[in-house]
Amino acid sequence: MLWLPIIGLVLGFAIYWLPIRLPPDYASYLSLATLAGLDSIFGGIRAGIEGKFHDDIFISGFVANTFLAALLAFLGDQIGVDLFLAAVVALGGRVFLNLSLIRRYWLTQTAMSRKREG
Amino acid sequence: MRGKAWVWQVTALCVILGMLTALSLKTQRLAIETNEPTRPAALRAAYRILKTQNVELEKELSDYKVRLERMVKRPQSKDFQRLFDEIKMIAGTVAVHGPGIVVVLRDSPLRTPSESQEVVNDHIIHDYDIRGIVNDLFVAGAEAISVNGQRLIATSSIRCVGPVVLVNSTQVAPPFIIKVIGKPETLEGALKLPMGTADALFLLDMIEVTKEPDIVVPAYTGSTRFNFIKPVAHKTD
Repeated sequence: MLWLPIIGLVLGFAIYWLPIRLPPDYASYLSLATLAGLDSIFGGIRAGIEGKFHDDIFISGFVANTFLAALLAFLGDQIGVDLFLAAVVALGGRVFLNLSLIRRYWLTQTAMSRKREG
Repeated sequence: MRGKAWVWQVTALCVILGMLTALSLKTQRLAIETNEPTRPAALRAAYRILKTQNVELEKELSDYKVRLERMVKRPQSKDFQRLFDEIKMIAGTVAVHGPGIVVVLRDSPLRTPSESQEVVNDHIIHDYDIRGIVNDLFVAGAEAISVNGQRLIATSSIRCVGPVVLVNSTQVAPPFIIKVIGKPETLEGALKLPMGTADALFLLDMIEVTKEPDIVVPAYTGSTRFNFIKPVAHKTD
């Protein structure tokens, strides 16, 4: 069951070999969307483990983060300051935070279930 | 872990994430291939590099222009300079000097006031006398000839209009002093040929020939405008 998301990743990556092209101007926005997606996934997994998963929060989180990150990148290009770095730092920080929480929960649950069985 | 309904949403987003990653990778690879930087910083760097290259190329261009001007004004090659001088000498546009002879043609001092018209004719220098002598001198290897200061060039003419002789369409008066540069002995010998052009002139004391070790023949000073001729195009140029 846990491997489902990974299968999903590989499936999604298959689009690499399809003859779809995007104009190179959008490269930076795409990268930010990727980071926002990563953050939402880890946040979603953590919320799921905590039992606090909500669909609307999950989807809206992804959309809102991507939008804000793209806005920062665009504004940064206009005024000549790398504003997108703020999005990168914030989203990246959250990814690591969520990852540590997931690890903690998972290890604790494993230990607890072992204790119960043992 | 129970109640893992949320795994499906996460999986869905994972698919989207996979797609986004693939597209980003592709776009980035494409940008690297076509050498187009996509970030403003990279663009700025590329612009600076191009600007520096441009400055260097402009300097090269101005250097080449200076060299070209110098080459056109003062030919460096000795061969070219020599050829240039040769051409000027052939053209007659430069004064030259060298060994040769001086020929003086004058009306005969044996003239008498009471002689008939035919005899008078024999006692004066005509344009055909000068022409014949000049032709004999060229045959004898003359390299430069001037008649009363008029340098003879390829388009020079000697003619008479009534009592007046015109050389290069300029009036000249007797005595006609012909300066010739060439081998003095050969030139003198050509004029003194028995039954030659100057034979009668010698008899009537109308000609005097002097050998000189160094004679200056002046340059042609007339017009050098070409109205009709053009050089034939060289296929090897």
